[in-house]
Amino acid sequence: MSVDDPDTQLIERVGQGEPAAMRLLVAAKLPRVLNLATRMLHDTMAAEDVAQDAFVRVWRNAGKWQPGRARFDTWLHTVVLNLCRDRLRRHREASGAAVPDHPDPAPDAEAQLIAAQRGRDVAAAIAALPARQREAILLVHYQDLSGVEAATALDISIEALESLLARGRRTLRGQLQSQKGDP
Amino acid sequence: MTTPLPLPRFQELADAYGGVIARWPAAVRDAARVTAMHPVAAAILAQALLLDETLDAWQLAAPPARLRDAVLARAPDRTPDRTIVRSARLWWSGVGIAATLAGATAGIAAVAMLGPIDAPSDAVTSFGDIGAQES
Repeated sequence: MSVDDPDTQLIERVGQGEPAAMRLLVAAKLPRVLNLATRMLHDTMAAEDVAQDAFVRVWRNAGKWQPGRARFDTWLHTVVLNLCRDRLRRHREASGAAVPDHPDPAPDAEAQLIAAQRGRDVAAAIAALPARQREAILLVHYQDLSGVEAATALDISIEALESLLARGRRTLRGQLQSQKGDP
Repeated sequence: MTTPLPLPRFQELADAYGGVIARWPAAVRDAARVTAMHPVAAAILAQALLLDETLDAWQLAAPPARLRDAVLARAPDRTPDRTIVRSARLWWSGVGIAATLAGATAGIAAVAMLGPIDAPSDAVTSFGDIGAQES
């Protein structure tokens, strides 16, 4: 599959070791990487670690990046998702099998991440979704990936993605909009 | 004229991607915009937008500068270092000097050892008749 990738030239320059290209790439991608990791993990420090690890993989792979397969941005999202899943799995294993597949937001980290009560409600509602629905919504709504890109990052069909999105959004609507109506 | 997207598919896409048609698959956007003029479709979009706006309440802070610096600090430094360039130049000049000296030594040895075939005496060398010059 050949794709038109707006990041191709920048990645080539990064692969050649151009410091200016590296700074540009970090400026463009770090906010996206950190946002996804933060929303996946609900832990600022862990999300920053993931962001650093993700960029180490970028530096390692930029020189051998082959344009025309997947978009760089999609690949980067896959890397971040996998790093976050690894951490969540380790967290689950360390905490015991009874722990749900999402961490409870830590109050101190949460205070830094979420400005308003409404945001906290949304974060909690999304954290309570099944993992795949949560990932689909994070990629499409918050990371602004297209359906094709998100399906590629999650390694599922576009139909499966749309189904995950629709189920996730339906749950969120029921939960958040009923809260909105609460006195 | 663009054919409108059927209402059931319009509903499915709004349920999945939300109320902003620009986020829908590129192939259906034009058709969806035509459908959106229908009041029922407009109501579907409005409901989806309501959830979008609710979700947008979850905002995050921008990455701190120290994280950006830490990420860049772990980037490989592939720029040629001046010290390395200088060392490389010195190395090559060393090779050149050594090659020159080796060539000169070999040449002198060859010239000194190979006298003319019809040399009249041991004093005659490639540089001339040393004995005659001395006398």
